[in-house]
Amino acid sequence: MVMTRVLPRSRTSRLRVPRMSALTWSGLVLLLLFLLLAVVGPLVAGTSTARTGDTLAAPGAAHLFGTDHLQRDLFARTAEGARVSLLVAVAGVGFGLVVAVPAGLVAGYFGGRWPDDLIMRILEALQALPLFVFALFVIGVTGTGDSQIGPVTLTSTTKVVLLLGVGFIPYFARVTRSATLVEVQEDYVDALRVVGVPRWRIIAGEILVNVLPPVLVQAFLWIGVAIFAESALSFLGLGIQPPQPSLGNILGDATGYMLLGAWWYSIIPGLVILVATIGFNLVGDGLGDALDADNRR
Amino acid sequence: MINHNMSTFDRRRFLTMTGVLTAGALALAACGTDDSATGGAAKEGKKVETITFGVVSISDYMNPLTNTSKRVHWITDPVVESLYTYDASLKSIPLLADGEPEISDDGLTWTIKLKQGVTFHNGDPLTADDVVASLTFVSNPKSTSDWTTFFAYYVKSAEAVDKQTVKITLTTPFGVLRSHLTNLPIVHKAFVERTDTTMGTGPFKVDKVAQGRQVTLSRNDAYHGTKPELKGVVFEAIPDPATRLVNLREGKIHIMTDVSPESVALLKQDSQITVHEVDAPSDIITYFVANKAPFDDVKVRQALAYAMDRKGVRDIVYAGTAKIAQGPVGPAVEGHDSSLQIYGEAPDYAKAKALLAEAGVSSLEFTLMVTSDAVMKNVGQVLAEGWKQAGITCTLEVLDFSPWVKNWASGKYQMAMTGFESGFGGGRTAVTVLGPMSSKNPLNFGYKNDEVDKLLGEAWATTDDAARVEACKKINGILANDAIMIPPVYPRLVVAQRKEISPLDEKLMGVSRVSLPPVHSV
Repeated sequence: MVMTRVLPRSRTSRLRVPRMSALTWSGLVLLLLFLLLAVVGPLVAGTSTARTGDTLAAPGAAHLFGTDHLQRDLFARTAEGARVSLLVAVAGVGFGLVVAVPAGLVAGYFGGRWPDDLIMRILEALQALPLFVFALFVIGVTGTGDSQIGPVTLTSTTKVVLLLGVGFIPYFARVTRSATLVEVQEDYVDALRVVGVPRWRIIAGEILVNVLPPVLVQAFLWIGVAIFAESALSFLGLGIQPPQPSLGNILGDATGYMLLGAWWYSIIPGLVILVATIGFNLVGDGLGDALDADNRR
Repeated sequence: MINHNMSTFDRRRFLTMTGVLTAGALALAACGTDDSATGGAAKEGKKVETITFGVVSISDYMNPLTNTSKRVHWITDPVVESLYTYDASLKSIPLLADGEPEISDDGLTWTIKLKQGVTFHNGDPLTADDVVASLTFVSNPKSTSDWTTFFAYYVKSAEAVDKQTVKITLTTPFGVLRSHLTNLPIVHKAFVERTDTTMGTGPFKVDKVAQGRQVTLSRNDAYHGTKPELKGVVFEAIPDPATRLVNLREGKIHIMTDVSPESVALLKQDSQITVHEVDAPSDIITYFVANKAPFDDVKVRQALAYAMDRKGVRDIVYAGTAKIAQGPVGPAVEGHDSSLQIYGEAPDYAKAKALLAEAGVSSLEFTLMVTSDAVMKNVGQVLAEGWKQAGITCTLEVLDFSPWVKNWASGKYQMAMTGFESGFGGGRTAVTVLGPMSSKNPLNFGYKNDEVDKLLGEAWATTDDAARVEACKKINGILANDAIMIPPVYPRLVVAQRKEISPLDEKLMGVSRVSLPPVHSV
């Protein structure tokens, strides 16, 4: 402990509060709207599967977002769907991070040596599979219902979470590796090695803290992609299964009702997906810019 | 510096894609709501020589001997013919057969003479060998044909006595064979096992098969019966109901099958379109695994039946086009009992709770396995929500048809539900619906009722149609009381057509057939 005090300091807590651009502000507003709907919406709306007695009622005082073809309140379903989509996206990104960050750290620390080569070849193989095609293939083989793997039962929701996570691993791992490659060149890492700090403590205790900001910015950006991907899978009937709503399966159910004049049924969940994905991307972009500015300083 | 190139590229591409998709969706929405598209295509007074069907899907296997689904039979019906056919009152009359069959006194041998001068589309004459080839194929349980349900184990052998005479030997008296022979297509012996196309003796022949997308038929000028005026028929696979509807209103197709219930009202407002709603063997079939808890107890099944929201399914899912169901046998099928009145339109939750209490079940939870088509998913959701009001928790398991069938055939379900047109295979008989209720049927999972077994034996054995109807009616009543098959409604066959072609024959729709109109001009 005494030794580490005289060592060069690692660069922690570098992200300062930046001046935000108009785009980032817009993104923040969109993101807050989405989070309001996803977090508060389900608390104030009724049950998402309850029937109201009105089939395809237009938005109005009685039903803010209108009703669907099974007489269910669309506000309740959209809010619940947004919550489900957000949870699935966050869980998918979280699962991707849990696997990718250690892999990227190890690959970066041993940059150019065999552990790096091994990890990178595996990631490249994984990255060669387009995320969506990969997900379609796996769900096509295992089916949309529950899958039993030994004693573990994977529900359709869990499968979507895992597939999204697996698809994200190469991206997160690459960012982690790149950041780690930069960090291992820093003096404090050499100093820690010299004083005999174990390798795992250098990686997990010091480098990890410094590579997290760019990785988390990436993760934030990919939540938007995950919401979009989950929606696409559920739209095709391969993701979240009814009666549980998700933004994608609400939109999937709505196809065909546009012609019957129920424009709200497609437009509203579609707009929510748009707001979520653009919100996450613009705010993620803003965070990325802030990080770059900090790095330049 | 950290390399963000890959992720930045992907993000930008993603944002671009989002923008393009949004713009595209709005453009499509704008196109879809354009009312000016209504009914424009067909010119008044112009004779329609080729009619186009818009169907949900076209099977990759264009062989009517392999399955009994509408995906094949609506397309192959004009191409192939059966030994017997339906007259205007749906009575079975000879078509390829030359007169009535000779049935031996013990009922085990049927001898059928074939009509002279009938030829296949390639010019080959119809012979007993062709009929034997078709019958042998569908009687072989290993052939994996849907038709084995109707023939295997009952038909011992089929043999050609001479070029124009077929002898069918049965393992047991099997009077319902007449109905099966009225539905079973006879194909050219060289085409029995082919899956890419088919050849029959019908008024149209297969010209082109674009697998899964389109099938084109052209007139058979050597047809042995009344030659059609139409030059051709095209079947287009248009899976999305809204797209099918737009195509019909624009006149790009003449006949639309599988009209979604919610669009019936809209189509009825279109002066260019006629909507046919007909009682047909369009069944919702429900199965329980009745030898395992909780559904081994009749009271639990009855509780579920009493708490079933039939009215909700009829009004919400079928937009009022279906009829409230009592037993498994619907109004277009032999054995339907219109006087049967056990379950009300609205759920009786109090009775359901009382029955559950009698059964000693404090909280009923089960999984309902449904097929993934929109209608079944909707029916499942409405039922689950209704049962919830009675304190019953129903979890839906939505599966594509193949895994659904796999689980169903192996008994891996608690309650299963699907819908299909059984008329192609079973005609008006209740074989498809009631068959699995026999304790000897491989698809029966635990239901055993000696009286049902006895009545089923009698129903399939007799050549007396009235006796069969009576037996099936009794079985229907027993099954309804035992709540072993509890369809919520009897759906109707709904087909829409443009008015510039002659009206479709609604009588024939009663056995799921969509006949080709004889004349097609205004």
